[in-house]
Amino acid sequence: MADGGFKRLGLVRKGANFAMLECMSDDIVQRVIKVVAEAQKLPIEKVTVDSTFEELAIDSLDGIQLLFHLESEFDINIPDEAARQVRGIRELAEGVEKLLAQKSA
Amino acid sequence: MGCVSALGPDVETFWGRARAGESAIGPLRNLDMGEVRFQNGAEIAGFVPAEHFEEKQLIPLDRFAQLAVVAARQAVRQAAPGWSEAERQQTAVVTGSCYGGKTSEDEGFREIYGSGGRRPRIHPMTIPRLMANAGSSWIAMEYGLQGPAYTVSTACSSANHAIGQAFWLVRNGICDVALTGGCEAPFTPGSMKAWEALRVVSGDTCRPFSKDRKGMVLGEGAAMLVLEAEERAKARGAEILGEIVGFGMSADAHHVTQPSVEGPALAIERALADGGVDGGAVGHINAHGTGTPANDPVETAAIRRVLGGQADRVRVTSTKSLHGHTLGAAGALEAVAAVLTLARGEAPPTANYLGPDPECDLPLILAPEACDAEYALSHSFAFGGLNAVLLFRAYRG
Repeated sequence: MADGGFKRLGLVRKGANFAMLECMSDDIVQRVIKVVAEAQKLPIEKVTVDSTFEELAIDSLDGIQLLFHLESEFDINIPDEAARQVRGIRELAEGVEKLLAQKSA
Repeated sequence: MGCVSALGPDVETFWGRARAGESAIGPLRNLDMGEVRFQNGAEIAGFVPAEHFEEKQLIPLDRFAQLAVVAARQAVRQAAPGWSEAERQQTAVVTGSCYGGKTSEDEGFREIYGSGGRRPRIHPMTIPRLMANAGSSWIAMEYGLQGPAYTVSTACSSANHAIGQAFWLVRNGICDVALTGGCEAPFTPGSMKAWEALRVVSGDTCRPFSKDRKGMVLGEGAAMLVLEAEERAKARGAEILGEIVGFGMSADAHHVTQPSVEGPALAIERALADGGVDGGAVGHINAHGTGTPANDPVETAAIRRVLGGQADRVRVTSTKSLHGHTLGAAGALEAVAAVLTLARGEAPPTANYLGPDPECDLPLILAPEACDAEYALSHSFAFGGLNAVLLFRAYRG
């Protein structure tokens, strides 16, 4: 039942590519992957740093909930603008890292 | 028809207990009632959401919407509407809900206001969960129904207003089929305190039209009905349970909580006029009958005003004494009861009666009894003075 409803909202956009940060922390990546796997009820080995939201069937509503869980996990505020850019796990981890850096600055 | 309520998980369980006059009112177990002055309610025992929905489906679904979908599935299974694709596009979904997703809202707001210095956070699905139209939306998505779909919120009259409008949509040829009813899950700490403060909830149980009645008792549940034109139902050989023949609405325009005689009387008159039926033909009434000191004598007077001498012969019950007052779902559960009363020829009694109140001198059904009525009224008179009355007829083919 629910899936039809989710997909119809269709807020997930494809396309944009983001430069990879060179020194992404492996710890952050692993924590992001864990949050994604738990929230999406996916086996953790299915989620890698290269997974895209499309591959993981993460739609717009799922995405909003991921942000919620990530905010809790890392105690950060994810702005709407930054959130809209994200298409996959790598960008998610990069975004988190950036926000953590801003926080500690 | 489909329903889930404190009386049971489906229509047959509901009816089995209702016709026997078994009250499902008891101590609330799923909620810490703390020092709230009342501790009783009509709670659905053993409802396990995971038995009806996948884990992920449940995330945006408040309890009231879960109940709505479960009741709708039962109704669709029973009615087997046999939709063509074109008919799905023309099928209406009209639900009633007083509160919407109060459980989610209360939970979220408690987090915000009670977080005491921590960073307050609220679940991102709170808005989709709490919107009162969630029941209609999820039912429409479940079956791909693209006709008029909306939700009516008129407190305790919500479901009767919803069913009445769905009935008119079908009768006027605007929609081939309609799914309609009501859904409510009112048991949250915040709303229980609000009801306590209003001082209309009974500390023990619900005793409609009885002496020493102390007030209403809240309940949760949902009921849904599939409506279609008689010709369509006949043409496809459907199992026809009953007929809706009239609908009447009115406003008291009087007082926010004190009921008036005139408003309800107007709604009853209009339902009869809408169905072209004389009051003398009404054999059964499923009353609003909340069991509050204020409602029951006023409802008695309204019935007397409209039915005249027939008011001494009509058989009256209030099934709220059995399934509690389910607010926005009340009219829908009572529609199920009224339809089955006519279809099966037996009437559910009013429970918890202690003895007559001279101001409520109606011919009450106090023990299970046979019913040969052709027409039945079902009343809903809401806080805010908004009234909605449905008129049912036994379907004799």
